[in-house]
Amino acid sequence: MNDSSSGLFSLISDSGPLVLFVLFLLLSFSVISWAIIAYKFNTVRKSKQESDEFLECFFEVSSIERVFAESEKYRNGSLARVFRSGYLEYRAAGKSGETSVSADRIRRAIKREANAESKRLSRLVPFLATVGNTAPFIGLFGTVWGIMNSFHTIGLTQSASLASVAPGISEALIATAAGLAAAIPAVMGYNYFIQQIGTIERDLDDFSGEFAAACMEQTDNSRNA
Amino acid sequence: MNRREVAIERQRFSFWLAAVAGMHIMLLLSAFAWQHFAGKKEPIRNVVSVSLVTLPGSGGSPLPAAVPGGAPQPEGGEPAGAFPESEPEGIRLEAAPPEPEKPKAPEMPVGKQPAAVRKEIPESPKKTENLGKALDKLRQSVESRSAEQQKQKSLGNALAKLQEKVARQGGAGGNTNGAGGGAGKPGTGSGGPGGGGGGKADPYTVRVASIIQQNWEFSSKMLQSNYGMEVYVHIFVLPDGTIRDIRYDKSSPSAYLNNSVKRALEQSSPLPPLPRENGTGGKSIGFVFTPEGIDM
Repeated sequence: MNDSSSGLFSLISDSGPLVLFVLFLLLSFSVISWAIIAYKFNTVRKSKQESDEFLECFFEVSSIERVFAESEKYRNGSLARVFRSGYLEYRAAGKSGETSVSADRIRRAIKREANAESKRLSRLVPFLATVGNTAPFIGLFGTVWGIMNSFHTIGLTQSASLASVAPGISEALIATAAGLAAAIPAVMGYNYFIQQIGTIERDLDDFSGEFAAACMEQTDNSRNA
Repeated sequence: MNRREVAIERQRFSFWLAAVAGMHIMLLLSAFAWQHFAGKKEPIRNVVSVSLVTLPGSGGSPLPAAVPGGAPQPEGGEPAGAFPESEPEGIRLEAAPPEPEKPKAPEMPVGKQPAAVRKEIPESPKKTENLGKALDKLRQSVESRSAEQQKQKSLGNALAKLQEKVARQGGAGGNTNGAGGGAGKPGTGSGGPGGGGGGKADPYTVRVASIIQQNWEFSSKMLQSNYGMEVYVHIFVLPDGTIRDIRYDKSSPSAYLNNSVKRALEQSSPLPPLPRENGTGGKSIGFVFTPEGIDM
């Protein structure tokens, strides 16, 4: 590398159109993957943090109306969202008067919101898995294509010296490097988010059951009184 | 999730997308700048061009050999080593003759004539005539093939070594088996005078060694160390010249050296037919292959 023209960028600029397309595709994958990672990291972190704070508030405050008022502060928390949905249904059921019907409606509302929350958290995450799985192969495809062209050129020049072989292979290998560079963070991010979202979903399941039971109990008490 | 929330989520994701795209661009620009400035500081390195197909072979000698004893080697045999810069050591001798001048730049085949190596080698008067003919042929070959002058230099060098060895060994005995020969600049080769020779040096063995040396593709540069790099081999040659049996008395630690010896022996078969005086039972010949060459 005597000057910049013989560096990474000259290798890229000397590559064929297909290798360039592969590199562009992988760069796009990398940009989108990192954007998803940053966005999801922010979302999941906020959701967990606000859910924990809401849970503390939920057990500390005795009145369910007060909890509902406090839950306004935790709009990004998954548990708070589920609670708000269940509470609104509970209030609506209280007005209707039928205990068995209202219990089902509350359970369904909680379940629906828990599913919606799970979907919201999981959105865009499968793209990370797609990038992690396919990017190395896309890069490999670019490399294979580049090496094919390189060997074709070697055949035309009828020279097998390092000077004629190495640049072509070097250009081709950039595609594999780009594929790995896109895939590695995507796989790491995917594994991290799957684990975090799984934790939140388990918390949602636990909370949904307890909250639904608490709502039923309070409805019965209020009717008996 | 209502529409407003969806819009907010999209907005957030778009923000991160733009931020990450900017980071990628920054990263690429910084990589470009780093290469630009680091490349300027880096000193220019020497470029060494290495062919992946033909490796240099210093141990294998590109000898189109004329052999002692007055029997010239058939012409047209291509040398095993492809690079003229790899100076073949030839056959190892205990008292090596003075080396001819080596070219200064090993990568550039210099069109010099091989340096004259004059030796007074005892030779039988009977074989001097044959030797003279062989040398004439050799000289003609050198003159006609100017592109292969470097190879001829190696030939002369190796031939001189062979002659000296034959003469030295021949000097101990009383028989006249020694071979004389001239080697050196084309047109100035000198035939060695005949003399009382010893019976130890067998011209056929020397000839076989020369052929094997010619077929031996080996580069001592490929070895990390020369310590213990010796391959002791015994071959059994049938009267028609076929190598029937190859026995390795001792192998070297380098598989590369061992394999190169094996290939050289395989490529050398069939050898020239045995002389009649050896009878019809064949002949066993032993060699020692070292990175410096073949010893007998």
